[in-house]
This record gives sequence, structure tokens and C-alpha cells, in this order.
Amino acid sequence: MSLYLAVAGMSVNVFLILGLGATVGVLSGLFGVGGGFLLTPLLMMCGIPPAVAAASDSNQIVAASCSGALAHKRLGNVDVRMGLTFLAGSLLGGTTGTQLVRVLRGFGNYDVVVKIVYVILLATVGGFMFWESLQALRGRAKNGGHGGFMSRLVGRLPWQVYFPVSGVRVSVLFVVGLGFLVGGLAALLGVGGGFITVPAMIYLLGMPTIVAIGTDLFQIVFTSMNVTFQQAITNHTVDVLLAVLLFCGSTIGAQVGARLSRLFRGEQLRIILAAIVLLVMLKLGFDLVRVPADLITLTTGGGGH
Amino acid sequence: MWRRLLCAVTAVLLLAGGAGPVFASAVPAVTLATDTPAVEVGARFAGTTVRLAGKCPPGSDVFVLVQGPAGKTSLSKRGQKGGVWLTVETVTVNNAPRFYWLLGSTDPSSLPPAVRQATGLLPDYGAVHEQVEVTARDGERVMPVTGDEAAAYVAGLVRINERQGLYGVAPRAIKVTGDSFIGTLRLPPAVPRGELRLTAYAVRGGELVGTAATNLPVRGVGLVKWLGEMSRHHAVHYGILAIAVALAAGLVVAELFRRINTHLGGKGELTGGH
Repeated sequence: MSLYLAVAGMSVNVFLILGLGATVGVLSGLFGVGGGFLLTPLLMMCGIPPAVAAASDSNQIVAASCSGALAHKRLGNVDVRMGLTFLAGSLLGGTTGTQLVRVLRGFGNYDVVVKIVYVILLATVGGFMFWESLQALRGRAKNGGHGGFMSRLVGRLPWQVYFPVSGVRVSVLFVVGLGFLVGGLAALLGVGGGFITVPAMIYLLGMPTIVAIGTDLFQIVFTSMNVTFQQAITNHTVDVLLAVLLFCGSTIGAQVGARLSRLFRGEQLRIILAAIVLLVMLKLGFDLVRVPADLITLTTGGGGH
Repeated sequence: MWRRLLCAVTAVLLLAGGAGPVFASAVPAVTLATDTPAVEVGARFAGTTVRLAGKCPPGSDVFVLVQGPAGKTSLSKRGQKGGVWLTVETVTVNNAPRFYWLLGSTDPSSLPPAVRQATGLLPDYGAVHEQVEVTARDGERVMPVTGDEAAAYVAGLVRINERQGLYGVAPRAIKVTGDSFIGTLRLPPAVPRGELRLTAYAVRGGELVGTAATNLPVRGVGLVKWLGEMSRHHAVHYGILAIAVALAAGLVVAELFRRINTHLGGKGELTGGH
């Protein structure tokens, strides 16, 4: 069955788009990642213009993260206070990062450096998480332990607050600062922060894996709303019908994912997420060295998580 | 006396020919018509085929050029820098037709140069190359891109459009029988909304012997029209609508699953460690 999309300006197979949405929704509910890294390229393979694919994907993420966050909230996995504090930092960081990009673009090899830094960052985060969760699975390390040096440093910061849902006592300044760094990094690298946020919450804030995932989904609701609105008013690239089809699949997928997440232990979820991060890293690394099929392409819009 | 008669005859000929060319009476006229007055793009639109028909002088070859509205497209060029492949330049191609098909009763590359010049039926999308303007941005400045560099971008755009069925050459799409011709025009799902301009050229003995043109509007109807117009002209409302619909969908599905879970939980089937 085909449906014509007014903004994308083309027709698509309804069941194909529903299936894509459902797959990405399960990943989102399970790991707290937006799924944009997967969905935008898949939509482009279906012939959707790149800018429309990225913008409609952000619209879809609003629904999936809302559905996923509510499911996690009911399971007690969302630390609203932590999420909002982190969000305040990451919004500030994102704005600063966007301004910084303008300045840095003036220097010659900015884009090369950004791509390579992103691949190295994913390799480091994914590799560390993989190694750590493997140790935990073998029973050699404590669950989600954070380094002695780090906790001593963080312990000295003022404005210490207890976050009961996460079960951690940490300085508000540290949470805002971390959000600022993640938001700024995401803006500098031109990517969504999902891959960095969850590991940062687990390893640097000491939050339980499942609460980090639920809280990340909660804050993605707000960041993806912002991206959707900006794309709609500046580029007119949000196809609401495409987004509706995608989130018909993804909201249900997100619920299934959130329920599935209860079947796994924290270290099991972490090792799968680590494997996904490493796969994305390999794909990006491969794209950097592979000769493109056509040197001229339609320009991709920003966004995605 | 003779002059007055000549004037009268000319006047009659002009009236008979309407707005058409004055030589219309000397050579049999060329006409062009489509089997539908307009193409309607609704929610179930998945491309369509339009039939063309017309008159032409016997023994001529017929070419029909179909051009869509012009617009601008943003293109990126990938290149190798520091050993890795990445986007090295982004340009805007202005005034390129969003649809460009050349149908013919024979291969248009066989046309003599004089006819090509007169009709603009140039090989390798020459007409597209001539009408576009390529620009690059450097901060706030807009700079023209010219020469081979511009040609490479336009050739890239042509390849992208060919893959989507928006550009092409169909040398056997028109059949001439006696003094009439028929043809088929395939409109892909991605056909742009707006006015398609169809121009027929009749060529006989290496000379252009007549032309005719018609327009075919492609317009959105129903939901397609409403969403298309809203996203362009009421972007703020559209953005709010998009977010509201997404949030509502998330809430509804979450509530639905809560009820399903409670229901199943009551039966003791899906109770997990909360």
C-alpha cells in the first residue's frame, strides 16, 4: 500500500515505513538512543530527500522518546530532577557549541578533525563500555563503579544534592557542567548526544544503567521538540505524515523495548549498547575511507540523535 | 486593387491561424494535446502515465520536450582531505527545472545543429546547463561558480534526477502515423507540483517545420494540498502541529500499553519486578 507524502514530494510503501519505525523504536526503548543514526540513512535509501529524512526523524523521535520515557517513568526509571538539571546544561552547551562551530569553521581542516574526533570518541566510549561490562558479566568488577579520582574530585564540589531516583549524591554544578560538555560536544560534532549522554550518566554520574536510559529518553523529548520546530520554520523539511507513519511503528516499538529492558541486567544492556556504538563507529570510519559512489550528492540537513 | 485583396487574404489567414505562426497555412499545423487537463496528486498518488496526441506534417519526426517549474537545490561535493572522504563544498544550483524529459520518435542526437539551436533540444541536457546558475556561500557572501566546476555540479544534479525518473530522454516514446502522432509520458511519484510545459517540435528533411505547446498542471488535492501549503506558508503552526501530534501519539500509546499491562498484570501474566 502506498501513500503520497506532501512535504517529501514522493510516495512510499506504508508497511516498509512502519517496519522501519518499529525496529528503531525497540532500540530506543531498550538503550535510550534516538535511533537517528540508523533511521535517517535507511529513509534516504528509500529515496526520501536527505533533509526531509533528518527533520522528519526528529519529529518521530519526539513521539518515540515521549512514549519510551512514560513507559520507563512507570517502571521508576526516570530521574526527572536529574534529567532537567542535565538538560539545562546541555541546552547551554548546545548554544555555545553552535556559536563555536562558526568560529572554528574559519580554520582549514575543521571538518576533518571533527569527523576523526567523533570516530575516536565513539571507539573510546564503546570500547571502554564493552570492556567494563564484559568484566561485570564475568563478575570481576562492581556494577557501574566510578573511578576513585573522579569521585574524590566531584565530592569536593559545592552544592551537593541527593537524587533519590538515581540513588546518587552529586553536585548540581557537576551535572550542569557535564550536560554543558555533552551538549557542546554534540553541537561541535553535528550529532545528537544520545551516544555520549547514556555512558556519561552511567560512568561519570554513577547512575544505574536503566535509570540513565530512562532519564536520557526524558530529556530527548525536549531536545527533539526543539530540533523539529527549528527545522519546520527554517527549512520546511518536516514531513508530518512520514513522521506519523514512523512513530506509529516506533511508539509501539519503544514500549516493547522498555519492557524488554527489564529482562536484561544492567551490564547486559551496556554490552549490547557498547556493541552498537562500536558498529556505528566502524560504519563512520568506513565511510571516511571508502570512495563515494557519486561525488555530488544532495545536501543533508543537520539534526538526528 | 491587388494590394487590397492581398491585405484581405492575409487578414483571413491570420484570423484562421489565431495566435499561431503566420506560416500555419503554408504547412500543415502541428498540434499537441494531453488525455487529461490536469494531474491531481492525492494521498494515493504513486506516479501516473499521461498520453499525448497531436497532428504533424506527414513524414516528419516529432520531439516533445516536457519541462517542470524551476527551483533551487543544495548540493554537496565530497572530496579527499587529509586522507579521508568528506564534504568539501556545498553549492546552490538555481533555476534548474525540477522535471526535464525529452521524448522523440527517433534519437534526438540525430538532429542537425541548426535545428538544435532553433529548438534548444541540445544533447546531454545542454539546455539545463545553459539556464542554471550555480552559487557558493562564503559566510555572508554569495559567489558564482562557473566553468567546469559548475558543469560538474549540474551533471551531478542530472544524475540524481535521472535516478528518480525526473530527468530523461526517451527516443522511442512517440509514434508518428501519417499526419498524426501519439506518445506516452511517465510521471514518477516524485514529479514536482506546478505547471509542466510541453512543447512539440516537428522536424522534416533536417528543418523545423512546426511547433505546438500546451501546459499540464500538476496539483495537490485534499490532504496533500493542505499539508503542502501549511508547511510552506504557515510554518510556525505547522511546527507546533507536528510536535503536538507526536506528543499526543506518544501519550496515547503509553496509556494504551499501561492499560494492556494492567489488564495482563491482573491475570498475573506479565508482572515483572517493578
